[in-house]
Amino acid sequence: MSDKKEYLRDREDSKIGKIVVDRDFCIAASSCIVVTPETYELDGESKAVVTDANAADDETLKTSAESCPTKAILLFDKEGNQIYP
Amino acid sequence: MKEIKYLIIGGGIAGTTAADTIRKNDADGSVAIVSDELHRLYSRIMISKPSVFLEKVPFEQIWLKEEGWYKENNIEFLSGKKAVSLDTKEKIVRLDDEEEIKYEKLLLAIGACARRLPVPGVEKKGIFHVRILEDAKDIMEASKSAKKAVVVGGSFIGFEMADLLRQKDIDVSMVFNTENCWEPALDKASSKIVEGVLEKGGVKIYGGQEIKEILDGDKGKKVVLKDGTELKCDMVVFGVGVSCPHDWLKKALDVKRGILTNEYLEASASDVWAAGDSCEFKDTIIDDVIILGTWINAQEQGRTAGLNMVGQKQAYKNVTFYTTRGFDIAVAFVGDASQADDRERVVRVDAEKKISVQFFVKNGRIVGATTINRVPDVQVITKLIEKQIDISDKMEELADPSFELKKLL
Ligand SMILES: Cc1cc2nc3c(=O)[nH]c(=O)nc-3n(C[C@H](O)[C@H](O)[C@H](O)COP(=O)(O)OP(=O)(O)OC[C@H]3O[C@@H](n4cnc5c(N)ncnc54)[C@H](O)[C@@H]3O)c2cc1C
Ligand code: SF4
Repeated sequence: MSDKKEYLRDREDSKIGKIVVDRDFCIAASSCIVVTPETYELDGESKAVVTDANAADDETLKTSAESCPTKAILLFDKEGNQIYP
Repeated sequence: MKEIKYLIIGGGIAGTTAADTIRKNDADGSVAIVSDELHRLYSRIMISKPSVFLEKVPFEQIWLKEEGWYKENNIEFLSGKKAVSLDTKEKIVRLDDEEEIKYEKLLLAIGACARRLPVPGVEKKGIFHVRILEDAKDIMEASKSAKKAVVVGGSFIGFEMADLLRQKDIDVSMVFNTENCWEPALDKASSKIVEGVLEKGGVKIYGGQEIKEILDGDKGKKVVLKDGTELKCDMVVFGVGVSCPHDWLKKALDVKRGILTNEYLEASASDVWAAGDSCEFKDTIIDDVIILGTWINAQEQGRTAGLNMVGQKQAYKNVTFYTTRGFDIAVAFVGDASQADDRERVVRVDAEKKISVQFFVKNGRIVGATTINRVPDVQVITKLIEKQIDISDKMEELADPSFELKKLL
């Protein structure tokens, strides 16, 4: 079973409603954290967790997901459709 | 002759991040990436990760850029072409198709190649190295029908490949030439922990062995070891380290293990930078010249080099680490975890719990570390390296697994 953690987002200026981190795929490469340290940090198991789902704007959030070398970050719109990857 | 303002050799994460950074800071200057691979940017990391290899996700997930990205960003992508010579006086790079390109600023982000051992039979079918996308496809295909595999090399790639092949129920034998696996990167006690989990996971280990030849027979292959042992198999995967493909640069630049640079990633000729796996740079945090092979290092060096190419002056300062999981253990490498004459190793182990941390200490400061099953320590060690905290009177505590590292911060 894959171990996914979901983080809901309710920024009004945003099309993204949910950030999901697939913990099985995360290898702590930290690329996402470099893009937006306000959004992610590594937890004690060295997996990315979202500390503030509303911190970044859509563009930054997309960049953070795109920078993940294992595609461990998934983004969903407010209707629940996956928009990345 | 083609003239390019920002010429980048190598289209991996370092080169691509540099191109992206340059474009974000200079909307008009011409940018070109020369890549001897045929593909746009993909995740080299995923080649040996369960997600792609065990087909938990579609293979397409390996792409990190859309095909249209280069055009949209006005970045010329010259794929399938290899740079073969560099003239730093005239500022010209020649490609293998004889084309010459004049540059204003040049970035060398040429990565590393999988090292090849001069073993008779190594070029035969069914024998693989692990570096490029095609390797991933070939190994995945071969592992569909293989029953027995030999993995050559007992470090990072060997460990990950052995794990993946075992997950496909393939019999795996692992051969390495050091006494214990993953040496010299790991200390003996840590190696023993890894060997224990490999064996428990069904891997047969042949340590301290070299390969004499690889033979093809009617019923598959035979890997013949120097002591005469014969290992029957259907496929062989090599993971015996890397070498930097920089022979063509030796006349033009100072190169050692990689392309030598200062902390601004400037190489020895003006207007030439290096980044990523191919860059041997001055690390001002640990005051040493080092070469690393991690994704985040390549990405961030690409960013720093890009910024410096557009006229900024940023020193590269970053302590990076990578982690890998397999056979139910987590192994991490932090900072510059490599041995040198002026470095001392301090190890803390709890063999029973399969836990170890190995520190590399230079002048009373930690410069790198390896950990097994101690992932929470990774970030503490990163901070200890970043802050260059003097631990010269704490060597006993370092070696004591019950001492909490956090207390050193
Ligand atoms: C199987 C595998 C698994 C890995 N797993 C991890 C991991 O889990 N975590 C981690 O942090 N790191 C991992 N790494 C390491 C990581 O992938 C590298 O550090 C990173 O990809 C380096 O990027 P780069 O841009 O410096 O070099 P590269 O990605 O090697 O890119 C360099 C490019 O330049 C091209 N090139 C070279 N010479 C020339 C020339 N003369 N002309 C034109 N093109 C040229 C090469 O073909 C290549 O495409 C792994 C590596 C491999 C192979
Ligand atoms: S970039 Fe991806 S792999 Fe790296 S920490 Fe973030 S989610 Fe994990």
